Amino acid sequence: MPRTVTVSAPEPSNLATGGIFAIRRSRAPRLPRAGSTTSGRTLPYWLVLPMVVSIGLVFLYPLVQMTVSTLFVTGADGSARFTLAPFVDLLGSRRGWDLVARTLRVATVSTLATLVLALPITLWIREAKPRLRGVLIVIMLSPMLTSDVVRSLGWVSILGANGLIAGVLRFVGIEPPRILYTEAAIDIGLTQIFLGYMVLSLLSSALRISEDLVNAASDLGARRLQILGRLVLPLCRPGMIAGCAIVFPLAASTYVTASLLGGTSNPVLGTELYLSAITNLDWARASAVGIVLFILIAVVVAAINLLGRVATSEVQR
Amino acid sequence: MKSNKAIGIFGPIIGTVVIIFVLSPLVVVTAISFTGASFISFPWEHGWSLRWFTQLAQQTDFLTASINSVTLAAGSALLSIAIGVPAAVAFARHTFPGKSALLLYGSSPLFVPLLLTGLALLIVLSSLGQGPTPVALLFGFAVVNLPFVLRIAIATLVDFNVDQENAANNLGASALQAFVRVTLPQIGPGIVSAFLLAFIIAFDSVPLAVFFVTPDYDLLPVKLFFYAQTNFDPLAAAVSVAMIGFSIVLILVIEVTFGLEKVFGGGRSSAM
Repeated sequence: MPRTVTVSAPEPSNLATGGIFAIRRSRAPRLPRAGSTTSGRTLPYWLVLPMVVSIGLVFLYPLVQMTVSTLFVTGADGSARFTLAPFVDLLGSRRGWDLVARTLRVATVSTLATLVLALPITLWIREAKPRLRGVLIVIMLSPMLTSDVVRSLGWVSILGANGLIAGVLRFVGIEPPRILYTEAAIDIGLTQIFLGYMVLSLLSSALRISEDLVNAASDLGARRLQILGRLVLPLCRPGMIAGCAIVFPLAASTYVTASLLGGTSNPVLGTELYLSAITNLDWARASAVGIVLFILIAVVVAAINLLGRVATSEVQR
Repeated sequence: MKSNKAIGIFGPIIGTVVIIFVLSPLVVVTAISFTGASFISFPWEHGWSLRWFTQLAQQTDFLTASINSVTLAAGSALLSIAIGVPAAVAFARHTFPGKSALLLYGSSPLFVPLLLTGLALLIVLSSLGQGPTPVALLFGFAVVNLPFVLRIAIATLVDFNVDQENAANNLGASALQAFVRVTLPQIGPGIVSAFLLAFIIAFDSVPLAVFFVTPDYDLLPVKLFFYAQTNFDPLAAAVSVAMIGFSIVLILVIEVTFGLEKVFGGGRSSAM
């Protein structure tokens, strides 16, 4: 059956351009939009069904199962008993607190370092001409698509005993200090690895700052430091908060970087998780480590977001 | 936007230092891969050589691991697309009860450390009597990369003006014809970029894969990780360079077809 060709009535937003057709809207039959059919009400749910099922099966269910089997141990008589034993073992020990403290330290230091380093480059990108801007963005974001292993090995090449810095120092006759296998090395590696994420977050805020605003401030006599401190940086705050909320969880979860740059003398929760799970085959402990890490991250991110809301309301006041 | 009132000359000065900081690990490890010596050193000390790359070409263990990584990453990225694009269509074009909850649900894999996700998957698999298998890892990556695919696909679909499909319908095309001949060519680059991003992330990723390697099944970044932990030598540097080169190729394709920045959810003029 041939389809009747009808002019589709314009949406209300086209009223201005719709002209006479806009008046005809109430009388013209509504054609179904492409992609929505008479089963339109259930179609979206069918479309998201694979996503719902796959995430549920592969991601949520294992996590729930793992948590339940860590918290509830089946005794010899088959009954389930609630227990916090793995957590007590972990957090009751010196090592456990050392892990938590070091994880918190490296994550916090590297997050703040990415913030400090990302700001100048973001503001440069903001002020750059479009072509330079594109190049700068590609340069800053490309390393994010290389593996953590490769980037960490790059830092081993720079910070190691046979690395670049050591070579240069020896060349000028200074005995190179030990940088690799210290916590500082982990900080440096994490900062470089996650700098791109912070730049992205900051960019979304920074690019929204209208140049007219900056010009106005400048015309009113503000010097550069004032423009930066009282206009640009406060307006970047949403991006800063978002960036910290993205980088901190990633940095706290570090495994590869902490292993390669920190070594066995600088364990963090991530390395401990793998050690417990695969080397020691102590899945209860590994699960406890994982859950503690998750809670740690959740608490800090909630605090970051709270800080963001408080800071924003201050700006608005 | 040409001005210099906010940061001015300090932008390029400090910015260049930051760029050097960001690129230096990649540059230095590349330099080491060309050393002529048999230990970690720089080519200007002991001569330039391609010996480590020729040796790499003969390392069947690394080559097998590379092939495994490529096939696994490609398969999981395809699966991510197959699951994510339909969902993205729903999110981009329809409003329905529970939409924002489902959107959050779709992003949920981002909220949990990858190590923890991997551990949970391993534990569940073994409680079902299965060990770690490549197929399970394939599904693992597909799910874990869904948030990225979703974001790109939704952005692509939202940008696409559906009226074009309506116009095609009006001109006699069926829904399928309209989709294939009008929509698909235009959302193609976006979908391809989503695929490439999911591919690269899966290819590079260690924290999930590390639970699934066995004596029979190895993956390149994991193999490199364990190899370098015990003996970091120029061969490891050569492997790193190969991986960097591979990433660069993919990055260029993404940048040319879609835009690297958009792929990560930023847009030069878009709200995030």
